[in-house]
Amino acid sequence: MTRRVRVGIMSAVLLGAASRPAWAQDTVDRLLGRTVVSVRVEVEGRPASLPAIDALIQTHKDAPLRADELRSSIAQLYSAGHYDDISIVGHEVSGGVELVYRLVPRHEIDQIDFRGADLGLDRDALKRGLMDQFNGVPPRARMETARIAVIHLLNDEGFGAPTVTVEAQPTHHPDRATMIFTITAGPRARVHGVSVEGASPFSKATIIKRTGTALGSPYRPVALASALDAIQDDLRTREYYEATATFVPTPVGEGRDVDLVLKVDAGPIVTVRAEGDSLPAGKIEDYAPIKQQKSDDEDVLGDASRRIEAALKQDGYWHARAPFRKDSSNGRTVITFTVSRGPRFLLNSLTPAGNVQFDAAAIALVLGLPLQAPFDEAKLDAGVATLKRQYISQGFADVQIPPPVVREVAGSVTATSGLVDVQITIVEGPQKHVAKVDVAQLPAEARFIESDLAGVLRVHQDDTFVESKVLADRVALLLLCQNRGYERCVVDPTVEFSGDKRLATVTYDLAKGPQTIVGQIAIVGNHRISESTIRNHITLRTGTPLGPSEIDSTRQSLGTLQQFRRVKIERAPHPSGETLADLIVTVEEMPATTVTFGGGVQEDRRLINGQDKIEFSPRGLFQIGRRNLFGKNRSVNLFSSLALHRSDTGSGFGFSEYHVTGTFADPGVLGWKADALVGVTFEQAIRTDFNFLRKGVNAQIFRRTAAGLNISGSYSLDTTKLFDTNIPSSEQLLIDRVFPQVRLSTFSTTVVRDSRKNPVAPEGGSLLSVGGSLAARVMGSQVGFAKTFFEALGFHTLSARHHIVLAGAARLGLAWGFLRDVPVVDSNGQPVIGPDGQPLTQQIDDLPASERFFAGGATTVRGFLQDRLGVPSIVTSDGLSNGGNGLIILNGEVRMPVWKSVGVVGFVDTGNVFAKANQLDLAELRTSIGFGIRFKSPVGPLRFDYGFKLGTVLPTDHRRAEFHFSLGEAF
Amino acid sequence: MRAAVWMLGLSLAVLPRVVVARDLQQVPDLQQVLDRLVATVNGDIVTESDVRADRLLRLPMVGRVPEDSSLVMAIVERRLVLSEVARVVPAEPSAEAVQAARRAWIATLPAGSDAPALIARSGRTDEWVQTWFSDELRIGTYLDARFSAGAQPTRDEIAAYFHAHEADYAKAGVVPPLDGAVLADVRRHLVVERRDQNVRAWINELKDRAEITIKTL
Repeated sequence: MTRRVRVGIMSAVLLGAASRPAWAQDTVDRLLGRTVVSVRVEVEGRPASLPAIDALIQTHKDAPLRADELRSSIAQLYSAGHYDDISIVGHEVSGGVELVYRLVPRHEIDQIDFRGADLGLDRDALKRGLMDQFNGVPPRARMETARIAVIHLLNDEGFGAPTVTVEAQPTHHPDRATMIFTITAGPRARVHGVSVEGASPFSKATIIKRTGTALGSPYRPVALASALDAIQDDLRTREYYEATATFVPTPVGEGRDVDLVLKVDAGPIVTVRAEGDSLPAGKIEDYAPIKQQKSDDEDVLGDASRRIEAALKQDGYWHARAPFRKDSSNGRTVITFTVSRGPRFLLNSLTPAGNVQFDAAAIALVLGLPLQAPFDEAKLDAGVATLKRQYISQGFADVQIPPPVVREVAGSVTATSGLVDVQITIVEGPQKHVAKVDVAQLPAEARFIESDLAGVLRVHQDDTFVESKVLADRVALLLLCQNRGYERCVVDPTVEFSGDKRLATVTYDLAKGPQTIVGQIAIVGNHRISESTIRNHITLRTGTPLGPSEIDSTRQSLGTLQQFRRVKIERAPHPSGETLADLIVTVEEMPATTVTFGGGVQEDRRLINGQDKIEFSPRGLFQIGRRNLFGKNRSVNLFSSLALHRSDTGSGFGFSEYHVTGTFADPGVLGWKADALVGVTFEQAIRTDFNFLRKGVNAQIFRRTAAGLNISGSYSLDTTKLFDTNIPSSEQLLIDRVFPQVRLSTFSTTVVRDSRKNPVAPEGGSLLSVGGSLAARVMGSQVGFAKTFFEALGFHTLSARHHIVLAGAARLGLAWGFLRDVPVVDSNGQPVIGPDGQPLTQQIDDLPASERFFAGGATTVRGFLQDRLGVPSIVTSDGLSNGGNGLIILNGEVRMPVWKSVGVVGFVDTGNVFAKANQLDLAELRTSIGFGIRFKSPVGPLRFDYGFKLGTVLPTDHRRAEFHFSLGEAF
Repeated sequence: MRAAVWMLGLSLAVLPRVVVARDLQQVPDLQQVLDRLVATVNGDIVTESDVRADRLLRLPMVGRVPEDSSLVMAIVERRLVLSEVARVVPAEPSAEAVQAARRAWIATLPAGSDAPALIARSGRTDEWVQTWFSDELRIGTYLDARFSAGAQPTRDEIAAYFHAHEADYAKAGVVPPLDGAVLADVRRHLVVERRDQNVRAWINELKDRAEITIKTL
C-alpha cells in the first residue's frame, strides 16, 4: 500500500467518524443536571396546557434535569393513552435549560377505506370481511396483519395475486385516522370446466347451481367449500350419515382458471336399532344420537355402546354388554346394538382389610354402597378414590388401596340375578406428623419475621402431615411475598421424611427477588371529579410495597365512590429492573346527570258512586340525579311519582297519590371524612282503611373511625296526618306504630363497634351498640321523650373443625316520656269543659306507639308471637301489646352445621317489656327454649325456629309454642 | 508525497467544519432531543434513553456495536422474551451467578473503562444492572429448559454434519474418526445451531403475536 493511499484511508476514517448517527450521549450529558427554567407542552406544534398533561410530567421548573424523570414522563404520558409520539427537547439558555414536550395525539383508526381502480370486490364486502376478522376496525398496531387479511379475502374470491398496500391517514378534531388500503386485485380465476362425481339424490345441475360453479363463473374456493358443506349437511339431515362433498381444482391455461371436479357421495341411508334385552330406559336414539351429530363414526357408536353399558351397570348389571354391528345392503345401512344385560348383581358383603384408622362402618359410609343394593362397579371405584383422599387428609400420605377384589358368591348366580362380595385391601402406611416447619430465606434478602409467617402458614409442628396443606401454604406465602412488593417471588416447598416415614420436615425455600415500591401515582381520565377526591380513595401509597391486595383495595375504594364506569390501575412502562413503580390510575367517569322516568297503569278496587269497582289509574315516575357536585363526590337526587284516581263520583280526577323525595349526599362533609345525607319527603297515599299525608325532613351524618367505631347522628322532623279513616280497633295499634299522628322532632345518635368476621353468619367477634334519641317540644315536637338502647352480641367458635358456634345477645331499652298537658275529651271526642268554663286538661307522659318498645317474635323471644310479649299491664285481653318504656332481652344459641347447607340450632331466649323504665324486674322475665333449622340458600340463610314458653302460660299467650320462619339469623 | 500532505491537510481543514455544520444542523438554536419514544411493544415503551444506555453500557452485545435500529429491535425482543419468562417464573439466580455475569461483562468493556462511572452516566443504577444480569440468567435458564432438549441431533444427523464439515476437523489432511472429542464437538455445534434456530423462530412468533410499533429512527 502506498503512503498516499494510507493517508487517504485515514482521511476517510476521520470524515466517516464525523458523520456517524448521533443519538449521542455527550450532548444530553451536557444538559443533565442543569436547572429546568421552564416546561412547555406542544401538541402537534400548538402550545397546550392541560392539567391532565401537567400531572404526568415529572420534570419540574427550578429542579435539576434528571434522565430518569425524562423517561418517567414519557412513560406516564404514553400510559395515559392519548399520545402516540412523545419527544422532549431541551433548549440551553442562560441559567439552565428550557424543556419542550412535543406530543402527537393518538390517532386511533376509526375508518377503513379501500382505494384503487381494481378493487376486485365491492367496498362493503371487503369492509365486512375485514371487520369480521378483527371484531371491528383493526387497531393501528395490526395494520400489517390487516393488509394480509385483505389479501386473503381477495384470494378466497379467486384473485390469485392481488397487490395491497396500507397506510394510516390522520384526521383531526377529533384526532382519529383512516386505514386506507390501496388495492390492485388483478385477474380473477374462473371456472373453465366442471364435472360432478359420486351418487346422491341431487342432480348434477342442482349441485352446480347450489355451488355456483357454472362455466365462466368466478372461482371462489371458500364459498365453494362452504356450499359443499351445506350439501353434505343437507344429505346427513336426510339420514345419509356417511355423506361427503368435496372438490378438486386443477389450474388450466396460465394458471388463472380452473377445472373443477365436484365429488358428492351420499352413501347409504343409515338407521339404528337395538336387539336383545331391553334398554335401561328411553329409546336407542337417546343413547346413539347419530341424528343430532349427523354422523355414524366409530367414535359416536362406541360412545353409544359405552353409554348403554354404563346405564345397565349402574343398575347392577355388572356384566352388561352392548356391542354394535353395521349391516349394509341395497343402499341402506342398519346399525344394530345387541344388548345383553346378564344377571343383576346385589352387594352381598363389603370387607375391608388392613384398616386401622377407619373401622368397617366408617369405610362403608365413605364408599356409599349399601348391602343388598344393586352393585355398581363405577360407584365402587369412585368410593375408593374418596376413601383414599380421606386417608391422605388424616396424614396417611403413603396409603395404598389396590383395585378392590369383586367375587361372585358361589352358587348365587342365576341367569337373572347374583350376589357379589367385595374385599378392599388397605395398606395404610404410617400416619405422618409434622416434625418441623421452616421457611428458608436467602441471607441477602430482607427477611419475613415470625409473626408475618405465622399469619399465613396452616401447617404447624405436630399437625398430621397433609400435602395439600403444604401446597396451600406455598400459595399463601407467595401471596404474602407479592403483597410485600416481591412480584418475582418464588416459593419452593420441600418435604423430608424421617427414616420410619412418620415425621415430616417441611421447608419452604423463599427467594423474594427485588422489591417493587410504589413511586408516583398519576391520575388520568377525570374531568368532573377532583383529583383530591380520587386521591383520598387511593389506598396505595408512594414509598410502600406494590402488591396485588393493595391494588384491589384501591380499586374497591374507588368503586365505593360510584362515580366511575371503569377504573384501571397500571404500572407505567418501565425499564427492565426498575423497582420503583410509577402507577397510572385511569378512570372513566359515569355521566354526571341521570334521568329515569316511566309510566303505567295500576289496578285497584274502589268504591265509586257507591259501587265496588275495579279502577285503572294512570301512574308515572320521574327521577333525576346529579353526581359529583362541585368536583367532590356530592350528589343530589329527586324522586317523584304520581298516581291519579277517579273521583268518588266517577267523573274527573279526585284524590291523587304522590311521593316526592329529595336527597343530598356528601361523603366528605366538612373535611371530617364523614358521610352526610339530607332528605325531604312529601307523601300522600291511599291505604285500605285510611288515607294519609306525611311530611318529613331528615339529616344524617355517619363516620367510621380508625378505631373501628361507626358513629352516626341524625335529626328528623316528621308529621303524619291520617284522614278518611275507617280503621278496625284491632289494627289501630299497628297503624299507630307505623303512622304516629303527632309531629316528632328528634335528635338521635348511635355508636357501633362491629368486629364480627361475617355479619351474615358470624363465627367470631362481637357487636356493641349504644344509641339515644331525644325529642322535645322546644325543638318543635308535639311529644317530648328521651330514649336509649344498648345492644351487645358475641360469637365464639366452639369447634373450628365442625364450625360449631356459641352466640349470645343482650339488649336493654329505656325510655322516658316528658310530661305534657292534653285536653280531656268525652266519648264523642269533644273537649270536656271545667267549672271555670275552660276546657279541662290532664298531664300525661306516655310515648307515641312508634317510639315504644315491643318484643316477642323471630328475633327477640321466640316462644312468643311477634310483638306480643309484655308485662300484664301492657297486654290487652286479646294478647296484643301496647308497648312499653322498658325492655330487656337475653339470648343464647348454639349453631351447628349438620349436612352441606343445612344446620341446626338450640336456643334459650328470655326477656320482657315493661310499662315504665323504672319498673324493670328480672323476676318478671319470660323465658322460652327451642330449636331451629338453618338452610344456606342463594338468597341468604333461611331460618325455621320453634320456641316453647317455659313456666305458666297466661291466657293472653294463647299457645305454649310458636313457629317462626324468616331470613337471616335471629341476631 | 505532496499530494498526500495536501489530502491530509484538506481532511483536517474540513473536519471541524463538518462537525460544526453537523452540530448546527442537528442542534439548531442549541436545541437537543433529550429523550423520545422510539418503540412500543405490547403497551411497554422503548425510549431513546434506553437505547443510549444500552449502547453506552454495551450490555446486549459483546464486540461490535450495532446500528440504532438493530439495538431497538434487540430491546423489543428482550422485552417479549422476558414477558414470556415471567409467566413461568423460573428460580431467581444465585447472587454468585449474577456477580460472575457482571464480572464477565466488565471484562468485555474497553480497557480503562470505569463501570460505575459508565452506569451513572447511562442514567441507570447499580441495582438496575444487577437485575439486568439476573434477568439474563433467567432467560438463559428458560431457553435451555425449553429449547435444548428438542435440539438433540440423531446419530445420522451427526454423521451428515460431520461429513459436510470433514475439512474443518481434518488434521494434516487426515480426517479423524467420529468419536470421543470430535463426536462431542459435532454434537455441541449441532445443538447450539438448532437451539439458536428454534429460539429465533420462537422470537419471531412472539413478534408476530405482539403489538409492536417502531417509530422512525
